[in-house]
Amino acid sequence: MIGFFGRKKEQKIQESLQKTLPHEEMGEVPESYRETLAHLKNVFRDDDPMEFRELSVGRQKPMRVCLVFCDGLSDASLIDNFLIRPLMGMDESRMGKLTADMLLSGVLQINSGKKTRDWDEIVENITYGNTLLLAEGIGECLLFDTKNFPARSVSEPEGEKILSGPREGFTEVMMTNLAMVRRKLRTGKLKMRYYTLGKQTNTKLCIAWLDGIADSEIIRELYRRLDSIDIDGILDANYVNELIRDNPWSPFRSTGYTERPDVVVAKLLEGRIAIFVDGTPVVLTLPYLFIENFQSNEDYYLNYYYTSFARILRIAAFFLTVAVPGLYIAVVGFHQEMLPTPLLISLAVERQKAPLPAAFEALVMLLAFDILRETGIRMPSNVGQALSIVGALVIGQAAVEASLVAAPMIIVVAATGITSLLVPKLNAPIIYWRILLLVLSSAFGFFGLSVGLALLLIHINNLSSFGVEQISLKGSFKFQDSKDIFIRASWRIMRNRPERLSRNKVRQTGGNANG
Amino acid sequence: MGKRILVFLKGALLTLPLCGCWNYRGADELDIVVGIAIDFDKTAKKYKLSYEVANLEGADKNSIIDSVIVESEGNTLFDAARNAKRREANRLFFGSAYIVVISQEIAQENGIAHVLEWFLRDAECRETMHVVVSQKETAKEIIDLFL
Repeated sequence: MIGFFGRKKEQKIQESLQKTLPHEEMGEVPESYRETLAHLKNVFRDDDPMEFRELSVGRQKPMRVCLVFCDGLSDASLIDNFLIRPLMGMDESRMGKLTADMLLSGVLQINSGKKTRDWDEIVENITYGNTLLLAEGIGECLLFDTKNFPARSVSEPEGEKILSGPREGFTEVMMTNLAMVRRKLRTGKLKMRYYTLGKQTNTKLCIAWLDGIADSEIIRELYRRLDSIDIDGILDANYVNELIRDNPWSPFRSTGYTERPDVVVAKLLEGRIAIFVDGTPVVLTLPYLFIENFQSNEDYYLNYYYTSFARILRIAAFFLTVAVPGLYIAVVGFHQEMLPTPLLISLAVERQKAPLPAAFEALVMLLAFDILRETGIRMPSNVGQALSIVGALVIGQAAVEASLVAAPMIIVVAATGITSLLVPKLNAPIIYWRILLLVLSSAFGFFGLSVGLALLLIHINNLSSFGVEQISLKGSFKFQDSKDIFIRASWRIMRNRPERLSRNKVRQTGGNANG
Repeated sequence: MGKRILVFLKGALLTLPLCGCWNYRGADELDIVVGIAIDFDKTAKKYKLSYEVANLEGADKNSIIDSVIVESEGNTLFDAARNAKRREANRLFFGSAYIVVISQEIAQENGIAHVLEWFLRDAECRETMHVVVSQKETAKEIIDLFL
């Protein structure tokens, strides 16, 4: 019996699926009002929030008009006051020979309106909050911008907090985001092109660049890659990132991401391209250089002596967090000569009490730290105290006092964990490379460690982003480019844009400094 | 891609024998030698080595680490050092030795060059070690003084 009902249900679904086919095949809107409306109702059947407001305009020879919009996405007062009211109050003498252009230019009092005959465009617009107007005797459909959906207000991004500098962050509404960037970059050179992606979600993208500064070759390559995407839905910028990136299997990033308009503007000014994705506050920037993993927007807002130091710390932190566990295992297990006698003795005393081999101990403790960190991200914030007590007391002190773990290991794990927090953009490769180096150095000591680090450098050297090498270890040394790599030089002397990114290299032409 | 990985592995394997240290020995499995005394037994014609070894048994970070004397003998210095392995469960670790006491007898009769040569050629011993010549009967007595 169950099987019978199941098959029946399936048959029903199949039938209803077949009904949608004509619309997809048709592409063009039919001339007749009745046919169009019937077809539209078929497309949006079983869709209660979709409103079909049918009006009858005029008394002697009433003309039928229908407004189609989505309840909750559209501004009701806009539709009432500036579409329905002028329609109802229309001069009856004009009605006989009414055309779409006449409606647009002489009757309706709304700021944006356009004619269309394309089904896909109509469906896309209605589901975006726009209103469709169908009128008897007018072959064309009219679309009006009546979008008004709930949106989060502009606030500082949680993940990218800074001490000083602009605090606004992007929201989920792409138009707001574009406006925020436009407000900071008031030039006609700022180009913004829409792009639609996702067969079901029809997500709107916007590709932005500065004309004459961004490399048109890279823009062309970006479009080529976007065109080859075939996916049903885009919910976040990362969907796009993974589908267009270079080195798709590498744990390292290939595009930058930010939730801050000031960062996007800075990247655009350096000749990069930004991809806005509707529905997410994250904006992608490309091409991506490896050094961007260590750069922060605050580097440019604070004193450059301070931020240069901070950047060197971040670069050191990357190598520390990757190598410290392996280094510790290699020294404890193979190269005791490295240690001064008092340190060796106290280490040996601690190690004697620990039951596990050092490498296994390191693996367990690193996992414990990662578990704590992941819990910290996922849990509700009001149980945060419990976590820090468990983390600090149980994992740290108690484990040592119960002689489960040697005390130096706690220091190693703490150093590894803290330094990994300094380079959040590299958290994915760090986790794996750390384990790799740990395993290699527990088997081969420093030899394994150096082989692992060589692998790391080879991999980083092979990274690219839209054909641009992420790191350039070969070729000539560019002094201008080096001013924003390990240090952040003063704005007085950073006269050029990054060599590999932009067409127009000169950033400051005037002789406002003597550098 | 596969070929590149192969080339990398080849390079890595070729350099493997060039690196001196490959056997894992945890810091807790070492007998850390802090002082060495060298005597020569004339009747048996054997070198007698005495090592002062840090005693980590039952030590914790608050107590002062004491030491024990381990002895071994052999036909040559190297032989004697090797023979120590037979007595000790753990391997002797010379990297932290800071003093070598050579008996007066050896110094007067054979000189200290051949003793120092062995220490300089050994991988673990540091060249910063203090070298002293005992004025007592045997070198071991000097080491004993530290106990």
